[in-house]
Amino acid sequence: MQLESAIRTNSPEFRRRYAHNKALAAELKRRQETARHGRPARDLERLASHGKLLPRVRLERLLDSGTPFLELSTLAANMAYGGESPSASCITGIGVVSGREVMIHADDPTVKGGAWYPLTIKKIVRALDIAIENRLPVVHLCDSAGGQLQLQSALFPDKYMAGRIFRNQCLLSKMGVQQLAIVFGHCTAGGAYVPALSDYNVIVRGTGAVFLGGPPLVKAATGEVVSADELGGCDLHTRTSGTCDYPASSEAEAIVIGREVVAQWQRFPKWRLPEQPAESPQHDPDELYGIIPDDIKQAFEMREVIARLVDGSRFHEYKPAYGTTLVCGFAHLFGYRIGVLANNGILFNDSAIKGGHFIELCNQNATPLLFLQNITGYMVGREYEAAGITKDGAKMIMAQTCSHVPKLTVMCHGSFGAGNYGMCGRAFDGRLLFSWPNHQIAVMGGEQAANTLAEVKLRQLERTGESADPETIERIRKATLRAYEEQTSAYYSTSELWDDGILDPIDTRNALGVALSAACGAPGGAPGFGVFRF
Amino acid sequence: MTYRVRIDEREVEAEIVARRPQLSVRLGGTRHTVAASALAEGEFAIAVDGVPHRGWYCTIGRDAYVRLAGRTYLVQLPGRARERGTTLSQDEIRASMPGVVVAVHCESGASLSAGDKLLTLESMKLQLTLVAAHDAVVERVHVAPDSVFERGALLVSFVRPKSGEL
Repeated sequence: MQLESAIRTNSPEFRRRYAHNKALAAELKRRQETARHGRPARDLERLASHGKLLPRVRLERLLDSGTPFLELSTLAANMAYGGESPSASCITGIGVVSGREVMIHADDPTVKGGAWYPLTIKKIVRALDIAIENRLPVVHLCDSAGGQLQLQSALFPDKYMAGRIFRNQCLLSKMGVQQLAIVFGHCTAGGAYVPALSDYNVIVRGTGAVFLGGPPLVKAATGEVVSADELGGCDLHTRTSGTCDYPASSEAEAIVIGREVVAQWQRFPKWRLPEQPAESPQHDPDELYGIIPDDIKQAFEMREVIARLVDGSRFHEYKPAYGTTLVCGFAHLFGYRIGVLANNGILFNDSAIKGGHFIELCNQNATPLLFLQNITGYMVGREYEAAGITKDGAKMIMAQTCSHVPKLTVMCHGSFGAGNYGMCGRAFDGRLLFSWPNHQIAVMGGEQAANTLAEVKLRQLERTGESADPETIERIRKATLRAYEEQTSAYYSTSELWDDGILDPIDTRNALGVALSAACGAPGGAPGFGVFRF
Repeated sequence: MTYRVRIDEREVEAEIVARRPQLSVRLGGTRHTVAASALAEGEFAIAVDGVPHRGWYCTIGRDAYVRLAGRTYLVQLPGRARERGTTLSQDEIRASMPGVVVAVHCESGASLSAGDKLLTLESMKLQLTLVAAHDAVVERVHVAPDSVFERGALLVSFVRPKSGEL
């Protein structure tokens, strides 16, 4: 049935929230704009003097015009490295090339020659994980000086560091999911394996080069003096070594060849297709700004959000009178059937059991899951423990984790404690996870954490015989709270790639449409669940 | 008088041309004579241009599901809302969990409309604002700001409506 809205758009509360969230969205746009385009003039001039296009211009020419591009993690690294790696020095996203949905990974030579920071690698690995999970072919636009040597210990040795990029490339190829690399600039050291491990590659004459060690390293190692072009340029690799496939005389030509290569690729049949024509929600998504609270502690009616996301605002609610703090039901989004789980309060025994059961229904019914989070956790206390809240929460987590249908998550407000797990937080292999600018995440809320930590510090002081006056206590508490809140914010979260990007709430429906289309490119894993603790 | 309704995915305009001596409706340029009567709960008989039909209907919120000649039509009537079967009329509100009262938004004797705020409660660091599910008159607010309550505690009671009012 069609969801009705009970909001009052002329109420002071709606207006206050609207102004608050509209300002948050404007701040998000400003930060995204800076991350995308804010570069010192000298860096742009240097790029132009080498005859190179800006990475976003390359992207614009590569993608089919008039098709959507869902950029991921635009604000990755925004709170790391003193802000010197905007977007973590690379662009990733899902777009359309020659009529095929593909994952894009583009190095950004406008930042330190496109050098990879630890978070650059985390972002590329994530993009390739998304490609693997959704069977998305990949187009790499290569132009990187290689890893940031000063930070090598944070980007080279561990399981999910640089080597993972190449491991993921090999797996994609083995799965039959094609990759193309276009070499615009240098691909040095590990970076050389990106084109080498791509099934197809194109290299630009004059500026493109692929080598394990660049000219300075060769000179230091063997004393040999050699130019970059002689060592690993276009003609060497396309005529002699065979490391590259297609020579191109300019960036523009390389892009044309690249688009033609992608046009040769077979298309995989989709696992699920839209069941009906897409339809806009009956309720205006702009009203989301007035619905989202301006205080992280406040719950809000999630049906109001669902009514502004799904086709025709139609929602078939499952078990509407039971476990009412978790809203579950079926809807369509851009014609795709989805199962929605949305927090409408704390998770109790009944809501957790209902959630687990509904997840099983969606698995039986081959229906992708959408989780809308605003959660402070599962209920605590003797009565609830005696009723088995821990084992009921465990059932929900088991059902969610073992789901073989694709899962998507939107962090609509708070995400605290174990509720994050049941509701498909980052650790649970959702296909994509987005946040709203008002989102906060932590193992517990800022105030409780600050109070707990201040308490611990006080006891330490007491043990050493010092005493603290109320002012000192308050100072400790405030400092702790400030530090804690910074790390709780959506910007910190996205900086560390705990999500796939922050969305302006009004863009959520479109982003989920692209995400669903990509997610339906691949079937999930094997059906089946582990042992439910009854 | 013209009504706009949505039947399945189509927008339909129906103009009532005359109500007497017989109901006359214009649909897409054609005029039809209609005679309808309600039978048992949800069942109706209707004759369109003299051809008799029998059907059933059920309304949920703004949606009416009409079963006619072996098909079910979803008819959406703009501006018409009815409570769902799951919304029970309430004469009191009890706490569904333990917590503390953050704010009281109503007072004894106040007349409330559906959607008006009653109380803001906090439990597990989450604040929840309770609203009136339907029009009601507050008999008494049983808690004050900062008071702590257990699960099942009586929070607000409403004046019991005289029978037939709801």
